[in-house]
Order: sequence, then structure tokens, then C-alpha cells
Amino acid sequence: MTTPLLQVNNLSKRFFTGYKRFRRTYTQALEPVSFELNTGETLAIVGEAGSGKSTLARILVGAETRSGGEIYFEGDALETRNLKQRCKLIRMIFQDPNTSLNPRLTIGDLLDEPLKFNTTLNEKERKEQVVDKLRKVGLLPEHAEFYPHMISEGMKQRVAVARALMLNPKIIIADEALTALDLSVRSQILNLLLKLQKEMGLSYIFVSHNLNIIRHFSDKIMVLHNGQMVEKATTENLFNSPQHEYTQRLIQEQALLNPKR
Amino acid sequence: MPLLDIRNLTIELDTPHGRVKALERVSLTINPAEIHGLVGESGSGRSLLARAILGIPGHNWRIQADRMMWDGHNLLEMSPKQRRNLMGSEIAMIFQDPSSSLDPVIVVGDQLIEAMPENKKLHFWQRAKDQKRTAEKWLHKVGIKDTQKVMSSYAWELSEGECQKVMIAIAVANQPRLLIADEPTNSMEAKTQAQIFRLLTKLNQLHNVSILLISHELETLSIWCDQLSVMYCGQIMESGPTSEIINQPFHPYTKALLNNIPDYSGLVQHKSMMKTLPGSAPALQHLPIGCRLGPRCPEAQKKCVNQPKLCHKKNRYFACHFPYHEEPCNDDATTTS
Repeated sequence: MTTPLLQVNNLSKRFFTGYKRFRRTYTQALEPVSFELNTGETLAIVGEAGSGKSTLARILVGAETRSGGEIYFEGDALETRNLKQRCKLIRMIFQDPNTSLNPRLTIGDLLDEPLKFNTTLNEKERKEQVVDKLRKVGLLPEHAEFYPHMISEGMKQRVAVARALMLNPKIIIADEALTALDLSVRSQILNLLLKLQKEMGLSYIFVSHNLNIIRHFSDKIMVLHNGQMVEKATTENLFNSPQHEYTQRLIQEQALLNPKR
Repeated sequence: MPLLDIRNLTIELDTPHGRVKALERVSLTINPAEIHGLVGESGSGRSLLARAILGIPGHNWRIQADRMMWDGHNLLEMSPKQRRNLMGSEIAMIFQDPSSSLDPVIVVGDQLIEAMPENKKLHFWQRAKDQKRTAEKWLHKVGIKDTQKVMSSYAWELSEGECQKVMIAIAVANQPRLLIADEPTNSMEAKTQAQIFRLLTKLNQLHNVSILLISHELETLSIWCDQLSVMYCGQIMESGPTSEIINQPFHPYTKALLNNIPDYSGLVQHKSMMKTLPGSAPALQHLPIGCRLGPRCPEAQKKCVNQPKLCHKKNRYFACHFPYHEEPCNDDATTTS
């Protein structure tokens, strides 16, 4: 049996919420969760607000420390604090492209930044990399001179994708990356992500509450509810025969929001 | 008689780059007691249209229209005072971001009471108590259970869904005849969204309120609306009964929008590319002439540099030179932009 690209064992997170009678109290944001992800696969994490899906994504990318459990990347354990090692492997696309890009930097500088801190390339090589990635997401090399406010929302999200691609990661985590976008822009970005997956063999972890997109896009789905994993199945199985009551309700609610055609 | 009848509304904005036509010849008809959906991408001028109807123009706007009738009265000829009297009492609006459009330093209940009319029949010492009671009644009606607690809390203490419900209560407390809901469920969860929409349809059915529902989510609008208008870059593309538009779109843009919704009848392969229009919506400074969809449209031809007239087939309206329909009704020799 081959080792999966990413294996997560009993990952959990609790937040310190203050003292009660001189004793430290915690809230359990995420009960122990285990899953694995193979190369070229897409895992979707579904759940409502407060279900711990964003926490899970943030732990995986290293923005939050974990309280327990292990993460294995191709069989090697990822340490809690070694961010330099992790940010080359796992990168993130944020929800709102309007606020996640630094307005004071040109797009070229913005994309240059991860290379500056994590590689030993000189300026010319870095420039080549930036142009290469810009081309890959369907932008022109001239866009490197632009500031984020000068381009449209869809293009901004493309820049965000380019920034995630910068260090040639294996896994990209998209935390609600498509919810803030318009319908037509959304499918353009979705097409872009699918194309990149085919070309570069990327894996995605996709956090969303729109089951409609997820059904089209992902291979495996994990349903979270109040920090607990409720169900984990392949897309086909989950939608055709949801096992857990909560999943059934989610799918029903979504069906209520779907046009009858 | 339609409740609101707008014909060829044009709004021009004075920007540093010159004058820009943000809305171009928009026509919209809302009948009494219908839910009218308005779909468009961000920047397509939906909110401008809503503000123009309500009568809160920006300082650099120029509004021109052939006709803008509210229940038989011309809105354009009204004095600002008359417009102000309509605002809030007959036309009410729910704004985009509920938690930021409520006042953060005043308790929610006071804001609601402020928006309600005084009952002139009662003696003045009875009014305060009566107002409080009606405010609670409205909050209860929009689906808030713990009315006492919500009334005495600030906007930032409430969740997004609760804030939105309070906003709706404020809007409907005067029993308006038209409710303009500008993205009422933006960034909410599916569960809250369904609640809010159910509430709006209930208001529509019980109180005969007409609702103009503005959103970018065609999926949700197509379930809740009777009539649908599709807008792109400040031009109305297509308008008509929802079910007919969904089943058979006449306009290329509507068709492209519908293609963007993944569909599981087995026709689309899992993880396949979705059909999209090339390019992106143009910025306000660089609008194309004629039909603004022109550069992205799959059907576009030379004729499209003239703006097509809105043409009328039974109860459907569409503005296209080459619609997905047997005979285009435009007399093309006479079209002018």
C-alpha cells in the first residue's frame, strides 16, 4: 500500500476560554478527526458556521497550533512550529480577494514575497517565476505592475490562486474561496482550479457550505457538525445514500434552494 | 395597473474619468403583490436602481427617464418632501449588510420604535406603551422568539440572521407596499437564508407586499420569485416569468448564467469544465458601446454595436439582436442606440 499524500490522525483543537474557579477551562472546537488525502484528489469539508471547518483548515495550513494529533505528509510528520517546512507544501486561498491582497504592493511584489523569504533565487529568477505563475492562472505578465485595486474581482482571485501556487505546493486549501464571487466568475475560477489539478497533480482541500459546487468538484466529502466528524464518504455515496441524519438534512435544505428544472 | 413602472431609466455618474452611463435604458415593471427578482453580477448597477427607486441619489448622479410611475403618480415630478413621505412608509428597503446598517450605539428596540408611525388615535400618555407592544408584535412576526431580549440589545450583540430579521421588521413596520431587499441573505448560511426567504414570501402572501429581491444568486432567486429580470452592466437583458426563463432562456447571457449552475441530471460529467463566458465584466470606465454583452457574447455579430431595443413576446421581454427564439421581433432597420 502506498502512503497517502496527507494523513491526519486524531487531530483536535481546543481553545482556552478563561478561568473558572481558578481552573483553566477550554472549549473543544474540533473533536479528534482523521482522514487522508491522495495526490490529485479533492477533499471537501462541509458544515455550518461554528462547526470547526475553518479551524481545521487553519491548523492544516499552520495558522493555528493544534492541541493534539498528528499530521503526516508523505509519511513524514509535520511539526507544530516548523512553518517554513509547511508553507512550501501546503498553501491557502482566502475567502475574500478584495481584502486578502495587500493594497500597498503591486501584484508582482505580492507574488515575489513568498519566494524572497523561502528560496535562494536571485531577482531575475524570481521575476521569471512570477511571470510563469501569472501566465498559468490566465493573466498577462504586464499585470505584475498593477496594484490590486486596478483589476476586477475575478482577476484578484486569480492572483490569490497564483500566490498559492508560488512555492509549488502539493496541497492547496481553499477556505470558502468561491462563496464571495459572482456566478460567472465562480465557474471561471473553478475551471482554473480543475485545469491546474489536471496539469500539476495538485490536491485540494475545499471548505464550503455550497453543496452544489462541491458535488461537481470534489472526490471525497467530510461533514462536520459542532466540531465532530459526522460522515466521511466519496461524493457519489454521500449524495446518493447519506447515512447520518444531519447530512440528510443538509442535502434536503440544499435541494430546497435548487431550481426545479 | 402596475405598482411601479419604469421605462428607459438612464443614470449617469460624473466620475473623474468623465460621465459614465451606469444604467442605460432600464425598464422594470412591478405589479402589486408579486415577488420580482433582479439578478446581476456585482457592479451591474442593481443597487443604483434600488436607490433610484427609493429616491436616495448620490451627489454626482443624473437621472433621466421616460417614465417612472409609482401607482399612477410620476416620481420624477414629485417634490423632495413628497418623495421623503413615500420613503419608509410606502417604499421600504432592506440594505445589504444588516449589522453595519443598524446604529451601533442605540438599542435595537429603540431603532425599531423610531421607524414606526405613532398611533394618533391614542392619548399621548398611552402611545409609548402601545409602540413598544407593536414593536414586539412585529419582531415576533418576523420570527424572533425572545423579543424582550432582542429589543434591549445592541446590533453588534445579535447574530447576522437576527440583525437581518430586525431590519425586515423595521422595513415592514410601516406596512409598505413595495419592499426592496438588496442582497438580503448575503454571506449567510443556507439555513438562515431559507428562513429569511420564507419570511419574505409569507409577508408577500399575507400582507400583499410587493417585493423587489436583488441578488446575484440565480439559484435562490429562481425558487422564490414570480418574475425575474436579468441585468448585465447596467442594461436589462431579459425579463419575464421565472419558470419560463429558467426553462427556455432567450438571451445568451441568461443561458450562460444558467450554465454556471452545476446540474446533476447526468449530462455533465463529474469534474468536467463548466461552460463560461470568456473574459470578465468590463469596468465602468471602459464600457463597450451598444449591447454591453457584445465582446463576451457567443452570438455577437456586427449588428450588436447598436443597443437592441427591449422587445416583447407575450409576457417576456428581452433585449437581443440574436435571441434563442424563432423570429427576432426587432425591426432592425430602425434600431438606434
